[in-house]
Amino acid sequence: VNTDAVGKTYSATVYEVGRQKVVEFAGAIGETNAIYLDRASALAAGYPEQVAPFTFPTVIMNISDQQLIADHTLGIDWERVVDGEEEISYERPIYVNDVLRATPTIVDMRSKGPLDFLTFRTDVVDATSEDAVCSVLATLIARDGGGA
Amino acid sequence: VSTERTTVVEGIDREGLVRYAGASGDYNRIHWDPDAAREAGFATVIVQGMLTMSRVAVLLGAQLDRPTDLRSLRVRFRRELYPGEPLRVRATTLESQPDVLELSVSAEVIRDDEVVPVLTDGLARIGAGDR
Repeated sequence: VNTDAVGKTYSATVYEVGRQKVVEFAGAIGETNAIYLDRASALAAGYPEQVAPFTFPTVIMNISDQQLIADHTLGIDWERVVDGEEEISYERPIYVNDVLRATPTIVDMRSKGPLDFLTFRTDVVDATSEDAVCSVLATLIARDGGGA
Repeated sequence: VSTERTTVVEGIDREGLVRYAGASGDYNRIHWDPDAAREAGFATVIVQGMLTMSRVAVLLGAQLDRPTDLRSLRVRFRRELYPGEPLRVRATTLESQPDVLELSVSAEVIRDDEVVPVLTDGLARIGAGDR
């Protein structure tokens, strides 16, 4: 792996949180709390809008990650990549109609035996106010066996 | 005093994997193409790690008055999970203060009469209050 890439920041992905996308994602993960399924229930529970599920940033990252996958200078064999570790931290919930900006930065790269580890942080901010919304720290492993 | 709670999350079928692939935009073949999964060294298609993490987050949120009080969750993906396998999720209180609660989280399956760790080193932070 190319450890010179540590510290590299990619372009921001702008993402508009759509109501139906949130409903679709909530359904796919087995979320049944109505604050994630319709606006009226979220308002009744005291939220300003329908809420996106905790792991919703994954949807944005499956777009913003494409920049890393296309970056051949990293020296990662993406055919053999599995999730190693994931940490999602929130400053505030994500709501329907939020316009967000997700920016990935490589924070660590290392090789251990036959395994390559890539750790990157994706900072998600409100595109209008610039306020931090959440961040995701992900470690990917390129390997020969094990992991998910 | 630490308290431990174990909850079983029912197995996710293959249709659930395909549905999650479409909803999340993760089209990795090892989650829907058995040949690709076997080539990668698995017995068959495996559940997306982020789907497993999602199920754990849903479970933790459901145990809170306000599910958005779940402020952070970290997991390590240790071993693969196969469709249909019930996941045993364990959450143990580490630290409890007036406005923050920390839980250690792990998840495992029983496979061939053995306990197989799926998620380890999990940490959830729950904070009450307005945001």
